[in-house]
Amino acid sequence: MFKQFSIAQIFLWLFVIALGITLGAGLYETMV
Amino acid sequence: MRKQIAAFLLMASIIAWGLWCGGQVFNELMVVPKWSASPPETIRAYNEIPRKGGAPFFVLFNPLFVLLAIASAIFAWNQARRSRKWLALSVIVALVVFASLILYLVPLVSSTQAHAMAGDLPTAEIVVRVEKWKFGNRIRLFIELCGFAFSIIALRVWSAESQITGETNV
Repeated sequence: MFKQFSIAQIFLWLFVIALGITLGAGLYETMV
Repeated sequence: MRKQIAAFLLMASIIAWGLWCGGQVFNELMVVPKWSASPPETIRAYNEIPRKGGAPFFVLFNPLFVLLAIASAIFAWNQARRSRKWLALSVIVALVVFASLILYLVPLVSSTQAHAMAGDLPTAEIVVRVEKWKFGNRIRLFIELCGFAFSIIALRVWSAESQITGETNV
C-alpha cells in the first residue's frame, strides 16, 4: 500500500496532518 | 446513501482527530510548562489567573473524536474492506486514549492540583505526581497522534479502493 504513495501525496497528507494540528491548537488556545 | 454517510463520518472523524491532537499538542507545548514549572507554587499561580470566556475543550472534543471514530468504522466497515484494519486501529486508539484519560490522567492531575491548592501534601510528593502525569500525558499524546494518522490512512486506502472498483463517492 505504501508503495502507491508519491512524494506529492505524502506532502499532501503531511499538510492535512499539520493543518489539523494547527487548527486544533488555535481552537484550544481560544477556548482554554 | 450509506456509503455517503460513511464517507462523511470518516472525514468528520479525521477533522475531530486533528482538532483534538492539535489541542493536546498546544497544551503540551504551551500550557503544561507554565503550571508545572515549579509546583506547587506555579499550580497555584496558574489556577489563580482570572479567566473570562472560553469553553470546556476537553469535555466537548474528547467524546466527539471517540464517537466519530466508532461511528465511521461501523458505517464504513462493509464498504471500505481494505481499510478495516486502519478503521479498527483508529477506534482502538480512541478508546485507549479515552480510558487512559478518564481512569488515570484526569484523576491524577485533578487530585494533584487540588492538593497543591490546599497545601496538604509535601512539595516533593506534588512534584512526583506532576512528573508522573507529564510522562503519562506524553505517551498519550504520541499514541493519539498515531490514531490521527490511522484515520487518515483509512480514508486514503478507501479512496484508492474506490478508484480501483470504479466507485467515485470517496
